[in-house]
Amino acid sequence: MNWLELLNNIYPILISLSLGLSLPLIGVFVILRREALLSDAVAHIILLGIALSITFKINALLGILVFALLAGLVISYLKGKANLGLDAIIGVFFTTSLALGSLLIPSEELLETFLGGVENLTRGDVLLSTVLAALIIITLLVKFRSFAFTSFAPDLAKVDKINVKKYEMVFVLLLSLGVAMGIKLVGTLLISALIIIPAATAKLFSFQIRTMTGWSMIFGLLSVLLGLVTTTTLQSPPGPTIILVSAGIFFLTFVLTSIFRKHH
Amino acid sequence: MAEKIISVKNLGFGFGKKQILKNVSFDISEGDILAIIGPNGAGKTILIRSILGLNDNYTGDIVWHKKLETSYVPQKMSFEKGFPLTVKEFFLFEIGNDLNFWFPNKKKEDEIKQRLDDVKIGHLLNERLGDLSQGEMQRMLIARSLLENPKIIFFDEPAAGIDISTEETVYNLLYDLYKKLGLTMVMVSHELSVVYRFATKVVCLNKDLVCQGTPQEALTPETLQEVFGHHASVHRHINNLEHDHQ
Repeated sequence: MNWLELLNNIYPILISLSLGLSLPLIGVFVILRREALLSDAVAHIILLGIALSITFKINALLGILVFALLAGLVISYLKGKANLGLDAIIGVFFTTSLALGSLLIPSEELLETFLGGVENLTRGDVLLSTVLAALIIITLLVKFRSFAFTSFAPDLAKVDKINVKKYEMVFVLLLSLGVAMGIKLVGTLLISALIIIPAATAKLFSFQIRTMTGWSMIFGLLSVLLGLVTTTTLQSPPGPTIILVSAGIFFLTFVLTSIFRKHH
Repeated sequence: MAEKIISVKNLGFGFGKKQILKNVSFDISEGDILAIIGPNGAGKTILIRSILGLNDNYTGDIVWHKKLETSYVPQKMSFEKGFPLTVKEFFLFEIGNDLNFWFPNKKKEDEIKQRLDDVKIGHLLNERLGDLSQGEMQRMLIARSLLENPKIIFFDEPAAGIDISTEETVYNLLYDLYKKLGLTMVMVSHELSVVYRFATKVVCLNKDLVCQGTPQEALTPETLQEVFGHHASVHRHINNLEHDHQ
């Protein structure tokens, strides 16, 4: 194997590590906070970003990142408004941006935007994803206990003089960046599944949040790696393939834990 | 006279047209065991949440005269029962540093175990929070509230939903801690017998501030009727307590 081949092989590995480890880590907090719809909301807004960058011929990555940050800000703002439930907000505003985005995106590109693709994933995208993933993983793991405490018992954290609002905003921002970096490969419709499913799988049998976190990341990495291998072999779109692998692991774990419980 | 810690002045709270609290004024001083009593919906919880900074949506003033290490034992915690989080992990949110959360050392673990032993639930260290009974949960929250050597603790119905014998132990436990650690305590309670036995000061609410002072001064049959309305057991209750005190 020469250097060039090695370099070519390293990109799929890098993207697997980035997405497979960081998104499920975010998922642990999404499940803890019971905000599973949040990542969908971000994805819907980003779809509008992609649509606008196609319409105005701007760099797609720029559109994605700008709209991801916008999504983070909008959601943080709206969450403060107590009389608007998050699910209602998503039902009204974010589906509107999905509808608008779908109309603006040319039909031949629509499927790929929804379901993801490997073709237009550039090396730049992969490198940027790696940097973003490292940022997400380091922040969430190092400050894990503060993110977990403020998510689990915000009132108690507040009495302890922890700035709950700050952690909440940083989390929504990291979630938005996570969705942004995964959206080209996995697609807008399926990205939240890669955040939720591995964490939900780990939750099936974990007793401690630390174990759940570790297993979420292992399942996430497995899903993306096996998904990419299958995609290359079968020439299938990467988004649905990765998610099906991930769902397969979920059901297998579900059956195994059920059997194990019955016998103990 | 003991030093004033907190002054509540003309506090009011309401949403829409519904007024929950109005004209509530009182002081909390060092060494007080202040009991806040009143019927359901009288605004007891919202009052302590306002003092703790968990509700900003009030009128009037709440002044903390000095900064004190504060802790809070809520009435209940809302979380998904199946979520994997153990008592130890919950305590590690506060004890030690970020690294200890992932790799707790023996010293930290012993410290947590000691706190749990203090409230006689040391065996629950590695249990999931969702698997605790209501009584165990209350004890766990009380143990947690003592982690960082607080000077003032707020309890929202510390014995709610606990059977009578456990309730007795919870209050005795709190009283022991009060004497041992020289704490100031603020508690919401609807148990008049508890208020008589433990509280040094009482604030009774029924939207307005109905009475305040020592339990013996403040809780007259008239004020109790104003707080709880026509309540057959109030008189009997007071009679029983008078017997207790004789």
